Formats: sequence, structure tokens, C-alpha cells
Amino acid sequence: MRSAGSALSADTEPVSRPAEPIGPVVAIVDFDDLAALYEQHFDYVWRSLRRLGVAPRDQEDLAHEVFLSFFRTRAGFDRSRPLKPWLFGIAFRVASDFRRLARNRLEIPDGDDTESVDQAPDAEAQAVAAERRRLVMAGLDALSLDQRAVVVLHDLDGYSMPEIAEVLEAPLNTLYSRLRLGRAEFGKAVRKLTDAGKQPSWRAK
Amino acid sequence: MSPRPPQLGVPPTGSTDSIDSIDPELDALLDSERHAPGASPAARQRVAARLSLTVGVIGLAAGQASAGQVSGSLPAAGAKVFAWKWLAAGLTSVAVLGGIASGVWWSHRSQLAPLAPVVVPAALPVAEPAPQLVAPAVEPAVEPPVPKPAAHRRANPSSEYPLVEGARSALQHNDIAGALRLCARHQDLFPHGSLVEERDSIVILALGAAHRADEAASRAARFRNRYPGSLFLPAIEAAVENAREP
Repeated sequence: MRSAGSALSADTEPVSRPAEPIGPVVAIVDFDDLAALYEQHFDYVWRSLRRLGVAPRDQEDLAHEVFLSFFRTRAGFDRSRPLKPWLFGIAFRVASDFRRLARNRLEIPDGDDTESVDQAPDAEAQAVAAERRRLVMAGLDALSLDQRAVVVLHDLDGYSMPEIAEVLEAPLNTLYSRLRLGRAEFGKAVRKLTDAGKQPSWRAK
Repeated sequence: MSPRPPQLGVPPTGSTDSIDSIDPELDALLDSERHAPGASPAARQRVAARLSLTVGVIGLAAGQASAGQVSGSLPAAGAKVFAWKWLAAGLTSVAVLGGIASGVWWSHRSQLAPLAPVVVPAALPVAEPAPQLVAPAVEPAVEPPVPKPAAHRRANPSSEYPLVEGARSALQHNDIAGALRLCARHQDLFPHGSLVEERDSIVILALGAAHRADEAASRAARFRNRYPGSLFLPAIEAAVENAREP
């Protein structure tokens, strides 16, 4: 019986296979197909930059920088590892460099007109969801970039702390501290915003 | 509440680290962000177009960036796929790049000597003393401000960026002479700058666009030797081939 994979190869051309497994199969990613890589990961990079506090007006510039860096350095990427955390690491460094410039100090975005329209049919639900997302962003703005990166990777993207340690190249203990402090700051900021009436209540009804 | 990790540094598996659970209400709030929509198609295409301009990935062309249509890997794209004419015509929607801010990224680039002096061609139309960098709305129609020469100190990419980007923009708008002039100016001011590779690639593209095949080919050969892994190579090869066409 043919395997699903063998159906991909030409029937007439025998495919030589290595005698030994060459390593774990994580994902079939053609690292030379830049267009496909871009398509697959653009939204993730886009969201990550926003979550790292990049203002909407700068998102395109920095997304461009991230992919440029990614394309140039992809040869050094360990392909047995997941790609997204690596992309996040690039986004983090790009955002960090950008933030260092005084002229690029982060502002609380006053709206994101580059975000695609949610396809949910309920307009009110969309509005509520958008409001909650704005509150999340405002809460994240209270964190340092280092804390923010850990909270985003762990609590939004769902990566484990060891994975995050590799991405951010920081000791685990440090990252645990950042996560705890970041969560505390985030919660405090969200409560402060809602208590001050600047944002509608975020608590689930 | 979950206990704190008994031994920090012991790698937990998956995303369920043995650390304090997040407040359920905050977690519910974060959930809205977990399902946040991605970028708008317009933003996606604008960035794709800019990347195409930079690295010559034809599959990232504006308007072609849907998942089902992309196909242009750099090696596969090759000389046939890339055409500088396409860049000139197809990227009118591209805004001027992020300028100084974007230059920060280049600060990590290696400092390399230029390939050769950039000679502005006398045969090309060079009418005005100040080239009109035909740029969309944002950029004034004058040469970008440049700093005083920084011959032997480390170049600030932020200062270099307007020149190289101006050259790129000029080439994009078929102002070959203007592109070469800005490249020459960059070479004067930043002979060992961070954007030498970009500048040299633009020079070759411009020579190709001017059908100066021999010059483009010889420069391309030197460029290939100097930057064997450059992402500009497919675009350069295509420009050289294009230069040979009548």
C-alpha cells in the first residue's frame, strides 16, 4: 500500500531515500519558497508586532523589517524547530530596536484601521470583541517590553517557558519572574482602566 | 491555585507550565486577543510589494499575495521571473519606506567595501541639478537630506537610509540617472556604510535598466563573489539578462 507521501512523488521516477532517518519530521516547510512562508506567517508576525506595542502606523514598516531579516537569516534556522517562535524572536528584536529611538516611543494606539474586519455575523459581538482587544492592548502597554514578550508568548500564544527561553535567549528564572510581574501589572492596568471608566467592563456577563 | 514551580529551570512540557494560573477573568479577556483577526488584505499586499521591491520575490507582488497564487521562490523565480520593469510598474501603491526607523535594522549589517566607484552615466539624461525623486505623496521632490561625509567612522544607517531608499525609489520610477546619482553620492558619503550591498545592487539594477549589459554583467560578477548569499542576486541576474535584450 502506498503511503500518502509517496503519492506526491512522480510514479516513474524512483526516489532514493536515505538509509537512516534524518531526524524528526516537524513540518514540511520549503524555506526557499519565500512567498509561501510570507503567506503562512504574515498574520502571526502582524499580530505579534501589535502585541509588542508597535503602533498601527508603524506595523507595516516593522513587518517588512521582520520578513527581511527572516529571509536573510533563514539559512541559520534549525528546521527541526517550530518557526513561529523564531519569527517572534525576530519581531521582538525589531520592535526593541525600534523602541529605543526616542522618536518612536510607544503610544497607545488610537485605532487600528489596518485590522481586517472580523467575519462574525453579529456586529455587536464584533464591537465588544474589538473593545476587549483594545483593553488587552492598553493593559499590555503597562508592561515593559521584556515582560510583554513573555506574557504574549506564554498567555496568548501558548508557548512553554523553555520554548520562550530559547526565543528570548534569557534564563528561565528571569522569564518566570517576568511572567508573574507582567501578569500582575497587566491585571492592575486593566482594572485601573475599567475602574476609571476609560474602558467598558471586560468581565464576562 | 496551582503551586509555584518547585524547581525553576526544570523544563515543563507543552504550554501548561507549572506556574501560577492566570486569573480566569484576565484569561477570558486575553481570549479575545487570541482570536484577533489578522492584517487587512491591503496591509498584507503593501508589505508584500515592499518585500518584492527589496528582495525581488515576484510571488509577493501586490495583488498576487493570496495563498493560492503565490509561487515565487527566490531560486525558482530566477532571472525569468523577476523583471525590474515589473517593479517599476507594479509598485505604485508602495509608500515610501519607513525611513530612519527602518534603518535601525541595518545596524547589524556588516561593513563591507564597495564593489567599485559608481560612475553616473553621461549618456543618460541628467537635466536637473536636483533629481526629482518621484515618490508618492510623502516624500518631497528633492534629494533627501544627507549628513556630512563620514569617511572612516561607523556609518549611521539612519543617515544612509534616505539616500539608498531615494535611489531605490528613483529606479522604481524609471529615473535611472537619478538612482545612479544617489548611489554615487552614497558611495562618497558612506564608502563603508551599512547599506553598501543594497547600494551596489541598485547600481546593477539601474545599469540593467539602462541596457548597459557589459557593465551590469561585470558588476554582477563582482557582486556575486562578494555577496554569494545575497537575496538580491535573483533580481540582479534578471537585470543583467534584461539588459541584454534589445
